[in-house]
Amino acid sequence: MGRFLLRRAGYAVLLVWLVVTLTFGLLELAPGDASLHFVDPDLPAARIDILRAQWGLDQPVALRYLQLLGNLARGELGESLVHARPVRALLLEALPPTLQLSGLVLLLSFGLGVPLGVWQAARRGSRREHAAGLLLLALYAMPEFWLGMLLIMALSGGLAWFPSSGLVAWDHANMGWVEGTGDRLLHLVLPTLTLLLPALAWVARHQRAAMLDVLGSDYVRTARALGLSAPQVLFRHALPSALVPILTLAGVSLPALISGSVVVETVFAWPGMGRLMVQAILGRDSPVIVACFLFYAVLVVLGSLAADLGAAWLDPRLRDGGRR
Amino acid sequence: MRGETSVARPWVRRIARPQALIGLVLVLVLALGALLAPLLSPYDPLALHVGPSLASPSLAHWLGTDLHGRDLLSRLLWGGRVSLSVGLLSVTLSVVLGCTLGVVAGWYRGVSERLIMGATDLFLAMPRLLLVLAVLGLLRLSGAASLLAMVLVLGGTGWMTMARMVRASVRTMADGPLARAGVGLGLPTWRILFVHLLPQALSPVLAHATLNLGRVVLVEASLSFLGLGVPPPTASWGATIALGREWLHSAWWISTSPGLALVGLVVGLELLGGALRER
Repeated sequence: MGRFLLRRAGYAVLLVWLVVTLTFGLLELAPGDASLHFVDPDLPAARIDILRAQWGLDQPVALRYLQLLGNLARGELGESLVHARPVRALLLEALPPTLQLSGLVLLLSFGLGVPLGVWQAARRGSRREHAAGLLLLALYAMPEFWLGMLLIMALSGGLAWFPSSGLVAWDHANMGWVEGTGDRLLHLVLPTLTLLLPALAWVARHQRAAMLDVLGSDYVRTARALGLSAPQVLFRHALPSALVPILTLAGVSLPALISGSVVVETVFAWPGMGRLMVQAILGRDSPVIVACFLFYAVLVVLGSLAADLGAAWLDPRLRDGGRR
Repeated sequence: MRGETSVARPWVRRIARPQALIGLVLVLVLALGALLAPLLSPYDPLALHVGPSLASPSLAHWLGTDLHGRDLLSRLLWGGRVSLSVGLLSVTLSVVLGCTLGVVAGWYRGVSERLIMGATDLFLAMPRLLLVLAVLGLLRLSGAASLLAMVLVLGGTGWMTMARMVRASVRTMADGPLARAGVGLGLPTWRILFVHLLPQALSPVLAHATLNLGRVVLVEASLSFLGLGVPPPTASWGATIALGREWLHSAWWISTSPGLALVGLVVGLELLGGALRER
């Protein structure tokens, strides 16, 4: 276990370093530097040079790269060029909305998708399972931004049940505690649904496949031959093994969820990490871009680590690195 | 020599199932529409004011028109070209990369296998959309260059599962009669690998590639939706959907048809890929 963790930690550092280097490289390759985007071009050249020196842009590339790595290692994220505020503060502001949204989606998609997939596997070939399969396939194929717009059209425009943008209503500050909480929840509904439906279909499909895999194996046949009842075979013997690949899936679903949230946050004007990043990229706010990518890399690493630990906990064979 | 490992059902019979047929029809209709866009589209997709602004679907404009009076059916047909060409090119790149790396890892083992599998894990951890977003958003390339960059990034981040599949089957075949016969006959290694072993491993890879094509088409549409895909005047499904976003409540038809086309294409590819995967 110790060696396993050490290897994983090495891997994690490597991945994070690669992501930071890649981001830095892209920013370097991009035409022009910050002084072209954030400074009035009519300023005298001497003033611009002073600003460039202030931002460290007059240093050689290698030195700036090392400085960046050093700063990041010390946890210094720098200051946003667009907002003239510390990047850390921007991240801390954007983080809660995103965590709220992705956490809810993660919870619901696995909470609902796993039983759905198990049901599909148990009732394989029945007419209802067929219909459910087709519906899930259509959901899986939906581009999130389009689904979001459909939901806005139907539930926000047509029926006017739910608000379609932002975290809270404009008059949120005047609301009482109960009303305010309700307002927050109402604003969560559409973005959550938009991310949830395709994710749900994805989880159910994998759970169904994993379950069918297990149901075809020898030990399940043995259990059936021994006369165990169907629910006993399904839940006590088959399900635990079929959950292992799904747990790994939960770990690696973070990147997918994040990619989805980038688009969905744009559609719903949700002030989270995805929107922060898109705006930083469009506005060429390099410290924010670097920080966002760093954050995502760390999240990915943590997700896959958690998945591996969970799988090792569920499946003893994986515990000593599969040496047995 | 063929069919020495496991005998798969011939692909013709795998296709001849209702689900697969539906998938095939969906994909073919959309692909032909895109391919024959110059012949089929009633108007020039770029021409402004060929009809009234924001006209609802009618006989003259089957899918309606957008704000600038452009014909949406024509833009739908031409937009399919962007989606499909980006998708096909990048998936082809992924297949080539995945097969080559998988074969090398499965045959040579040792250091090369470790390196390739390590890279596989690393790439699997990268959120694809974000990577493309960063490359396109930061480099701000023009027309053809942005298409090329999109193909390179999407293709360069889609090979991992295929590499794993190919590696696994080449590994099992490396000690098998096929490989030993090849070595015994003194065939060059590349011939054994790419002419004799790889085709045996290709069937699941192609099924995966079909599924992957659907995902890539969705990513391309997302990028165009965010305004980072193909630059504006060119018709693309994602961009048309984005345009319709401002007119959701008054002109629902703008983003409906490209959205349905996207869903149709991806569902078709899923059904087709699913049928190809089953034996």
